[in-house]
Amino acid sequence: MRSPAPLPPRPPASFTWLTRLLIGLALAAFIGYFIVYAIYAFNLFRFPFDYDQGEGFELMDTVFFSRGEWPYRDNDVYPFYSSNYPPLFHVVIVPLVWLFGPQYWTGRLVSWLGTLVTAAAIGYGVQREGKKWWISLLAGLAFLASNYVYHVGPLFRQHMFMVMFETVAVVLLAVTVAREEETGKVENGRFLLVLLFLLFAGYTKQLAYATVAAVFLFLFLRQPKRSVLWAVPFAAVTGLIFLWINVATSGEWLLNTITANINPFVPGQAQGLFRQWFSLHTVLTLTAVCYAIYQLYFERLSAYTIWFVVATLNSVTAGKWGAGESYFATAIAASCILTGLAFSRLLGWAEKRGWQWQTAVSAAISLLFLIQANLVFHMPTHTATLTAVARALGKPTEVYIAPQTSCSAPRDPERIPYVDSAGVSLLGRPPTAADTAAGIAIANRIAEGQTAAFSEDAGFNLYIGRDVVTNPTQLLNLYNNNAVDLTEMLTMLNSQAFDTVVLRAQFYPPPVLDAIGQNYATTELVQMNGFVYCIMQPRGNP
Amino acid sequence: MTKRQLGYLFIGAGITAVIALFAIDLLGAGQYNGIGPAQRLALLAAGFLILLGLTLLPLGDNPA
Repeated sequence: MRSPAPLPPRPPASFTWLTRLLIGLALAAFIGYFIVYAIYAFNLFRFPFDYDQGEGFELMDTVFFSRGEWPYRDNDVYPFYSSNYPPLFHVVIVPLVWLFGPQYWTGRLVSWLGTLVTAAAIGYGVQREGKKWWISLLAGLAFLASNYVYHVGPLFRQHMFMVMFETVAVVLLAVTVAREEETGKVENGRFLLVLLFLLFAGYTKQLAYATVAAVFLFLFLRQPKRSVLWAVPFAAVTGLIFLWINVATSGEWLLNTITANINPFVPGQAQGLFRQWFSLHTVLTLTAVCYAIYQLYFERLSAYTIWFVVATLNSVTAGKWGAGESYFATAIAASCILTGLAFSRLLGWAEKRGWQWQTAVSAAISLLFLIQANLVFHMPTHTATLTAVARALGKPTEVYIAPQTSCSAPRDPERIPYVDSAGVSLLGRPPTAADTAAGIAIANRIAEGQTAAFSEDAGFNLYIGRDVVTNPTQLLNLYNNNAVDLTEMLTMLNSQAFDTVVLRAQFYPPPVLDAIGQNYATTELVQMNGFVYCIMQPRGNP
Repeated sequence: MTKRQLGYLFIGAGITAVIALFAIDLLGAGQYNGIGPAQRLALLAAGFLILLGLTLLPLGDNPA
């Protein structure tokens, strides 16, 4: 009896090329997204006004730190300004503000670089365990290709900087525990570094508490005694810093970062965002869920799995008023790592079973990444090349969106050279020269008066070197929690102490809007970034 | 920690959540009369957690 012929050790050339082609296409798709991300970021760096409303206030926080002052201030007195975010992101940007002045690009650059560090950490975490370079690269790039990361990554917002610290902390934790288990040696120095990154994450944005919980939950499963021993000093240090800032700011820190963040929960908003997150990241999420279930029943739960579950559950906080899609960024980072690890293991398993399996699994993984790339499709089409690429991919090349207005008659939809599978979005479209000109026009109008403007965006006052007056959403949050006295502000509005009022979304508390309506009249409407800004000036004589 | 212990942990957390969800009504802190929509969702999640815990019990002393 003849024994069966041994399998050839290498696949036929045609299969090799097919696999390489698919891997190449997947890499090309995600590298393409990275190029699009860079185009958007560099366009934003050049735009000198608020692209997202909160940006100017984060710049103002940085300006306060650059002067050696706290941004946690008494909202009851002029300029009625306070921050509701922890300090670290702004403190990191301070040297840039010292060197270049209060420029929006400083924080946008730091946030954008933070997302690149996150992607690198994801790739490193996958490569260290999986050892499949192209899967590791795709896992990291998949994070940057998420619509949500694209939208907020290059903004002067602290959220993605928090995600960077979270990701670095969890990857370092996984690496440290793996090394400890391999060598039998306890590495407290590295673990201390993990906790330091967690502390940094928490003092960048409060939402990092979920990752802190995930890390200690993981440690509790693996080393219960150690988890308790480290949790106590970690909590003590976190609490002492909190107490120090609170004392230094006469209680304004607690009021503005905790009380002012107790916002109403909007169930419909949470449901809508969960649906959108899943529909945009289906491949990443389903793969991560399958790998998590596999680990739950067939091996030990990893730090990444626990992080993914906790972060996904915590994403429900996206339903808070004022929250949004960025609250899913941590879950997306975790799902990218789990997807990379799952695919790497699957491919490793296939390689041991011969070239047929290896070819089939490599092709399937590449196709799944291509499906994911298609799900997150987003592209500015403001240049002929980008329009041609979108057209070649069979995608639309423009959308029509009506400018958002809170203080003028509705306007007709306008052509926007940006397409996004997330739907209609005012984030993602690179700002134009017309947007910059509109911002300068508003700033010039304010400069005609003698006072700082009572403005919903900080950028115009910053542009002409005047005080930033009010942080409207912060005031609204405090007002809703009965934690602000508007007397002085209303007195100033009623006496028309401000030469100009600039409204964008009318986020101010109702009594403030009433006072503005009674004492100021709209004199000009200026459109910038898809929003209609209402320029208001005093009615009659004060 | 073992898979069985993790199962008990899930079951305990699920039961605690169920008790807490009914306690909300007993204390009169809920927004609705009876079980509200958020409570219903949370009860479902707590039930899922208990079921998940039960499925882990047969896995015995395997590390969690």
